Amino acid sequence: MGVKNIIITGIGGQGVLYLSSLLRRALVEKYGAVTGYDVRGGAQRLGHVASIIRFEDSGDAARRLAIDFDDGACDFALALEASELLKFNAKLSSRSLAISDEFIINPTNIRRRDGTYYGFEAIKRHFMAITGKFVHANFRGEAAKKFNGPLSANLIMLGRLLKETGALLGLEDIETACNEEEFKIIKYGFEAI
Amino acid sequence: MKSAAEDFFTIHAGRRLVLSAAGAAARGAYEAGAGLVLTYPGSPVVETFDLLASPESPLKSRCRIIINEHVAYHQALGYSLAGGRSFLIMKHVGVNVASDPMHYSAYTGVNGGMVILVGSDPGANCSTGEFDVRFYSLHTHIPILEPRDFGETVAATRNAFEISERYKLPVMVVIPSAFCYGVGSAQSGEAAPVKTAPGFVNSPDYTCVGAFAVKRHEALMDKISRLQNVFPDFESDALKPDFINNGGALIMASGIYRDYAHEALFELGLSRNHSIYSPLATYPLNHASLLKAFTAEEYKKIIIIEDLEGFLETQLCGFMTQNKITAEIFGKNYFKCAGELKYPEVKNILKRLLEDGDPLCCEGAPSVSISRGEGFLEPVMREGTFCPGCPHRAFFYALNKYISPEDVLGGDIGCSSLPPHFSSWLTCMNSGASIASGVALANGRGGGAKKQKVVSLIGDSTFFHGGLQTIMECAASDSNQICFILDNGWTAMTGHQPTFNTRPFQRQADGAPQALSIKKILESFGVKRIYEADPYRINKFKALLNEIIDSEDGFSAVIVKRECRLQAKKRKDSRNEKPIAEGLEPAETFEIIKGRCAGCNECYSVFTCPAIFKNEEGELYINQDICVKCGVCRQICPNGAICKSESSYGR
Ligand code: SF4
Ligand code: SF4
Repeated sequence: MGVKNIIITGIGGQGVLYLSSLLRRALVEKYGAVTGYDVRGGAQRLGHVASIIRFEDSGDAARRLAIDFDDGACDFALALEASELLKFNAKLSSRSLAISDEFIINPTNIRRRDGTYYGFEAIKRHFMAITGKFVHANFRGEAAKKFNGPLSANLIMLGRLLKETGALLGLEDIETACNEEEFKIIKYGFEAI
Repeated sequence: MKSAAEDFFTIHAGRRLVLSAAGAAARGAYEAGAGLVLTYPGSPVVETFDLLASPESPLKSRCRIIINEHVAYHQALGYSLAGGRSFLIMKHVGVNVASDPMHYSAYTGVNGGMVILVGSDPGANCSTGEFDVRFYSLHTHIPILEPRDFGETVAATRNAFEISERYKLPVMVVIPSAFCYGVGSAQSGEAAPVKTAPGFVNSPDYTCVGAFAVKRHEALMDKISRLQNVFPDFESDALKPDFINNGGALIMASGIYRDYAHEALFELGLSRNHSIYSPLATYPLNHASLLKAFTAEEYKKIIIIEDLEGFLETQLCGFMTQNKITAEIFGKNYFKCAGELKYPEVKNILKRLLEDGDPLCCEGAPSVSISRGEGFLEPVMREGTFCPGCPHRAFFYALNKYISPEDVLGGDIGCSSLPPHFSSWLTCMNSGASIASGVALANGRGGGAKKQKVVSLIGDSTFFHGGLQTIMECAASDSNQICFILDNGWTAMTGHQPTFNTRPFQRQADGAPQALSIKKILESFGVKRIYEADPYRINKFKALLNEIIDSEDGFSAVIVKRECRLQAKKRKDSRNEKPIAEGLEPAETFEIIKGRCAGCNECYSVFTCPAIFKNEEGELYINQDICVKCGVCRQICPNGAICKSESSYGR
């Protein structure tokens, strides 16, 4: 119990910022306050996007939290694009649980050089070595099959994250922060994945 | 569930809001009853204007996008001199543009509160340059507030109007980009009725020349002296610094670094051993309250945490010398000047200074180091890139076929500054044709010894912002360059604000529809060679380039006209029109035909449309979820492998 630190990362257009807004809304309802910041990047699309979410779950309202947190102090990380989590290597440690899509997008700078980019297996080995807790699935594929569009992957992943947070944040907490359709997808992520 | 906007514009106090600091500043201006809200769009404070101008906002008809920050500043000053409250929003580099009238506004003073919200950008995360904008105050003498958390950003922006009216000075509220994009919770205050301008009254105070100017300068110095020497007692101590005296070292921290200091001391178990002094007003520092702090304790060690270039440190050193206070100062010799100051770095330096007693070591090593053994992957930075279907991508693809890396490509601000082209420079607004005109003079006709071609870029928004004078000058001197005016109809990079040439569009809520023609403007400037091109018709565009690129005729302007694809698509989708470029067949989707693709990678590695993907077998395919169906890839494939997909036929 105490301060919890969450990272959500992906690339522009995947809905990282929307996802973090749902989570923040639910956390404020439950714990009264959140802090953190977003990385919105300089790219119009497909650039690095991330959200840092921090909250205090033990009710120490007087404690002042910085918007950023220390290296190694991430509790939960959600990677909508697997390689984007590498940007937060320093924030991860054995304390962290990471959930990642298996989906990878080659940066255009790598494409231009016609170079090869990291494969998912290498990324998985990397995070297993750091955290030991690396949950992954083809969330995009799942979303395309079940919900007619790969962008629902982020909501499925949010459902999976809720499951991992245990009592910190449950389905009932997120229900008030989202609409019915979104809740259905989050619930699927919670129950089925 | 109430919508976020409904919550945001509630007039009642005590509503819990989740917002960014840029949003918190918007709430503060709303609560203060700002009568006029002006901006030239610039990250990281775009959201502040967007919120106040949103359809739900009671202030929407009072919000105006202005041609540039210099004009906006004058307009805000005029409104305030007439007695209304004006709120001006700009990024730090906008302050460079507005700096001339800023100096005079401190002389003339204001009547209605005038508040300038400035988004600074340590780390240059969304800008060119990370100049420390706060230093403007050392010579304009405009007071600065640097809010320390989300709730305080609401209150500080609201109170800044009161402070401005009390001291009859404009007030700057400065928020760094990390905090602008920060998201946290805050409570709303009571929203005051809008304070409009009762009317302008003539005064000799507004003439800043000769003896009048000297008098105004004296009056300004008096105001600053009051702000410096009177202990803050205003508005429940709105300006009062946070001061916690626990003896030990005195940590002085501005803005978000106050909470970095608190958290670091907490994590280090040193909260009760050291003192923290954090001013909301970082210019001028309040000497009365500083004296009180230094009387409370004889600090031997002062640690100053702030980003960029030691603004607090400069003022504190002056104060200490004046008051004969001696202590060891640990400031910019420990906390870096360049780049964004991150929490782990702050904590680590504090640890070394306070716990380890190692004042000579200033290297910020991570507190938790991860082993970089075999299999460890370093992150690869993702370059900024154009959106799928962006007309700029097609433009640069064609241009790159006609210029070599040795030629001069004058870059400018806007979407066009993103790769895949790499311009010869990228500095401030309107740097493209301006610097190019100097290079062209140096080269002389014929491109000098290197036979360099000189081409320059300017976006449509920048064209109106500051480019007009440059183009007039280039036309008058017949500067030997080709200037490409990339006209996508919007200030796209900062969130698609309209420009003066946005198609018939009610640009201002209370203004007449206007859409100026860039071509007519160029003609009136006397530009002799004006061309128009559509980058989506890539072969025609290449033929034009072929014709003009080696010309040494002097100044040519090419209007490269194609609307930002995202905007066009948004509008066409909503009208259910076929989303396809004019001049192409009415296909709706494109696909790469396996048997025909020769794997030359022209579309993937050279054109780099992000909607073209490579699967594990190395085969290329178009991801229909993000393809915007511009059809340009079909024209650049040398093997005719990109075709209308089967499913498009017969529709
Ligand atoms: S440009 Fe045409 S042939 Fe070359 S890789 Fe792309 S689809 Fe294949
Ligand atoms: S049509 Fe081709 S170039 Fe245009 S967005 Fe789709 S894949 Fe990219």
